[in-house]
Amino acid sequence: MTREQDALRMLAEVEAANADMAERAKAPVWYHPALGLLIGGLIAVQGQPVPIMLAFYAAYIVGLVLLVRAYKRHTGLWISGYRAGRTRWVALGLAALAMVGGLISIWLVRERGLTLAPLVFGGLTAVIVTIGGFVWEAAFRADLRDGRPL
Amino acid sequence: MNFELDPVIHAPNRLQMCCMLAAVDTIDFATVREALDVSESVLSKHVKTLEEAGYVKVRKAASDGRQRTWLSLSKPGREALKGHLATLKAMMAGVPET
Repeated sequence: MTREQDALRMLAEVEAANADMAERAKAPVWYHPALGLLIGGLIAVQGQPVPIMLAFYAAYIVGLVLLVRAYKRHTGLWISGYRAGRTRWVALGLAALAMVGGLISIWLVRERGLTLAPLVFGGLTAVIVTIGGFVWEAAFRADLRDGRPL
Repeated sequence: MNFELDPVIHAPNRLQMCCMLAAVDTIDFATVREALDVSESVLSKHVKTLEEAGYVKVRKAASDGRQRTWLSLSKPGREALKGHLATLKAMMAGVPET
């Protein structure tokens, strides 16, 4: 086998490894909606009595820990949402949207007395984060396909 | 820039393993073994070689009542893999190594 053929074979193995990872990194179908509910819930509880907010914050942390554990158990791996590549832009975009939604809903409650605003924005955020999770996975597959896992 | 084929990464299973690790933060030993379709002892040897080269970090953690081994690519490992892949691509482009 020539040096070029050897290199071609090895690059084909690299491509196969990346394709395998793209398949393995698929979260269970309930994962993204569950994460959406957690993050949407953070916004939805704004304006509630402090004990309720604090109770949800505690539930949020527990929920995140359980989600991460479930993902690792299901896939056998863990990927930071903020990994370099297209995925970082998706993650940052989602975080920014959630933050803006949260701030707007807090402002609407405090300044305009619109007590339902957090629920509306929380619901919207839950949907956006759910869809965003699938977009993130597509970005991850595109990164691997383009040889950008590094 | 001067690239060379990295002898630690060059072995077929180790190159695939490094590529898998490069894509994620951490991956468990059993998942890598299943993906590479090798025995535990063969994979353990590869992990040991990569760990001794400083390319892979190994962490053991309890999960669901059992010990799991988690692997991650170190920064030197990531750089070594980048250089190795660049050399392979350069070979394909017919660019001689310097």
